[in-house]
Amino acid sequence: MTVLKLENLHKSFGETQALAGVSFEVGKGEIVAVLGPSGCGKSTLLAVIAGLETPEAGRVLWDGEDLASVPPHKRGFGLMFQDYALFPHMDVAANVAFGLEMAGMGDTAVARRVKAVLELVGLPDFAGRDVNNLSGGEQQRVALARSLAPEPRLLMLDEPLGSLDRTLRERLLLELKAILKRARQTTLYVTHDQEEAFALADRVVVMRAGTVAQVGTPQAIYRQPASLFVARFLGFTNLLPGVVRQKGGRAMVETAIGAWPVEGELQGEVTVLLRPDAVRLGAGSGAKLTGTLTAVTFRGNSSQAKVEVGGVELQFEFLANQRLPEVGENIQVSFDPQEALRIYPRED
Amino acid sequence: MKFTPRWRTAILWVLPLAFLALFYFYPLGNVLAISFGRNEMGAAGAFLEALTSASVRGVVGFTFWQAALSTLLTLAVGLPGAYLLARFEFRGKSLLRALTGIPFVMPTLVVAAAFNALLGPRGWVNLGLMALFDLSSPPLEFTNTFGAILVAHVFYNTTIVLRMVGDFWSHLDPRLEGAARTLGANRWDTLRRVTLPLLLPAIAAAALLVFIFDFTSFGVILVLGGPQFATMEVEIYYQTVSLFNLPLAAVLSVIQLACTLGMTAIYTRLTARLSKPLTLRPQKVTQRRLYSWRSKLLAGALIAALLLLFTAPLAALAARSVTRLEPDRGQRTVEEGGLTLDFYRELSVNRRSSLFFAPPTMAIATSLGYAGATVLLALALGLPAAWALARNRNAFNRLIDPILMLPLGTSAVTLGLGFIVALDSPPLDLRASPLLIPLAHTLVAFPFVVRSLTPALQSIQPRLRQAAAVLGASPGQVIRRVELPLVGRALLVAATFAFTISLGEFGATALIARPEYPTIPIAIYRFLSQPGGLNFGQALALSTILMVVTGAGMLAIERLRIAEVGEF
Repeated sequence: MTVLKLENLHKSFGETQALAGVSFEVGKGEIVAVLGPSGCGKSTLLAVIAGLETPEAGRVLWDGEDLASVPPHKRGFGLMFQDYALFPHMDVAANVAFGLEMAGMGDTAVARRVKAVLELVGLPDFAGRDVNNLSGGEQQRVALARSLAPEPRLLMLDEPLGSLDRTLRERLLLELKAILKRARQTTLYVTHDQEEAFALADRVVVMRAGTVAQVGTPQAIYRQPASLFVARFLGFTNLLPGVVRQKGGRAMVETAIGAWPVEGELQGEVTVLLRPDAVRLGAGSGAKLTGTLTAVTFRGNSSQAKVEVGGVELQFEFLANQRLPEVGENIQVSFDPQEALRIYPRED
Repeated sequence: MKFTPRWRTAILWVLPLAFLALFYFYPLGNVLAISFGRNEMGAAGAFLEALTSASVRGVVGFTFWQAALSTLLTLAVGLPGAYLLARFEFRGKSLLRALTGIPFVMPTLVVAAAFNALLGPRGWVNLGLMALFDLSSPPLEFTNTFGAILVAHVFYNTTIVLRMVGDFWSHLDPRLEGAARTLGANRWDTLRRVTLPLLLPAIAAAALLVFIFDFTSFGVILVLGGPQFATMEVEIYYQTVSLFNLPLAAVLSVIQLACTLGMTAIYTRLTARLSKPLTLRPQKVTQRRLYSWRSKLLAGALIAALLLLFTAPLAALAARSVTRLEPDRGQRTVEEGGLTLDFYRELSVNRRSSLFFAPPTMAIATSLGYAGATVLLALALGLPAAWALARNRNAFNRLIDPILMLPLGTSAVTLGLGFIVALDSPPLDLRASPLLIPLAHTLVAFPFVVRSLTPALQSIQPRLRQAAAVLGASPGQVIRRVELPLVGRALLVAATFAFTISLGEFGATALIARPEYPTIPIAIYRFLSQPGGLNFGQALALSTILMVVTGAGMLAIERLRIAEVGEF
């Protein structure tokens, strides 16, 4: 059931167009990640939804009600800021209690709720601590507790793990997901990190320069990037120039290293994406490629292999338990063209 | 060889400390001795006597009362302005910021003359009203009122609030306010619970500084307040110059000194707390443009009000100094009205051939001479002190740093009184020395000089020094070839500070200047206290000259100061 609906939002700051027609929906209890490079308008989007910025055009609807005339403090949305924006003149408990007090909750009820929320985020003994002396991870949990405490109907998180180190990030990410799912919290999660978005979200909205580039489940977006931009943003590097021609009633894409059948309407010059994870080691069924293994990067549970095929360098990922040839030797791989290939109109 | 750097630092300290000992602590010690001495009721007797006297209590009470009221008014005007400058981006903002800084650096006598030119009995407003309604006497009573003191103080000190609170505010993360809003706080709750508590240290520090300035205000109250309003500062002056009651003056000085030093100590602690671990953000992200017509209208009105407050009196001064608008003596109407340079021309004429009368052009020459001497003295003393401070932060330097700032917390009139009581008899009889006034001015300028030189000297990275040494430069060559060129701009800034401070200094000078050698401010004061349109015109002409010179000096300082050093 859709609760939040964004319709064609526009917002600019002087010359910069931060939002240029953003539309998507969020369902009740759903975690939606907004994914995009920095400067694509993600933070502005949250500020507009929260009511901190006024859009020049477009509407923010909640349960079908237009929120244009509802000021931020009456929207019942929570926003957890990048770098947390904890009130430095209040201790942990006072920070968490702030939203509850604003809602007019009684003292004993506030105290009970603060205690419960601090327990939920794993900081049961932190009530009296000075927020300025907390570690990054602790600040993050306090900020989360503060935005969760008033039980917002929508929780928005702006790069909440952005400034933390990698191990802490991975641990908090899992905890965060558990907390949000337990609370059945409708959540909008902004990040530039695809791993975060994929790990956390039910659906992902990829943004580009103030517009929505793709909406879908993490799997769908990864398997079928809707555009060259999304493919590049996801870090895919096997992008080859090619030409689509009709041959015997079938569309074939011809590249420097082979020609494969493709589906779709595209004709003429295209860019071909060969997804590395859809490529298997050895001569299996489907299309085959033979090249020289030029480098192997060990990544723990997987290995990244660089393979030169007909003068083109490709990258593949293989599970670490698969035996690779020595660097410099020949290597054969195979893939299902329907699964592994995507074609896009040629840029530049 | 291990102790040579320490010895070098010690040598740097010799001159500045000897100067302070001789011309700050020795005179103040004399003031203390006078106030505690000669009383049958014991050491505290003089104070008890003074404080039980109704007139002294009245003076002390009025000093606090006018300072408190002035401070409140200054905050009322300054805080909205600080908000505007901190949170919004608009065209002409840097110009507005620069304009708001002008009053603060103007000598008190210029300000007093400026308000006279605008609102005094011969000022634009009264002349205009008289012409408009055909009145025979000025309808608006401004000079010699309590209101005049308050307005002048607001004019003077609003920029402190704008700068101190505004700067802090402009770096305050607006997301804190956003967080409060999304947590359900309305605008008022956000202001009350988040913004104001966070700004409080900055507001308190600014308020305290404004209070200290209002508390020790001298020229404004002497000239604009007239005889019926006396703060401690003015009373010390009267007791010294008119009544020769040095013991009472000394007692008042000590009371005032205790108050200002106490407040300065609190102020220092407050500013130290300003560095609380707040997430300060670059201004770029905290400021926005004015979007809605309502905010544009409000901002426009505020900007107009600030512009009026800051420029109207000074503009009135300059314009009035070249305009003849009132009838000459014995005439009902203005015979030759309009633009005139008469007031400037009269500056070199001795009309009354009075003995103590010095032509104002001579006052200008005297002032320039004193200012030059002050620059030399202040740099000669301030440079080694700043150098020693910048070299290391050892315990000795940390102890001495606040001591160097003491003259800043001591009122100028008290310094003048100290000079009078201490330097008039052997071993130090400087009564007739032309150095007396430059020495006093140096004392006032010294903290500014040290404060503007030290950061520049500190900014020289030890790497540069080491690099030069590795390349074969001797310590002397390092100073001459690397450090001095780098400090050049800071030296210019410090010199300009010393120069403009000396030109405008009034409090100490009023007590120690010899009547036949008045400085520009003294000459202005004399003209303002004498009747007649010609005297008034000359006061304005001299004030305008002083205003232009001071303004140019401060402009040079703003230009030369190395950008953003010391900012967040």
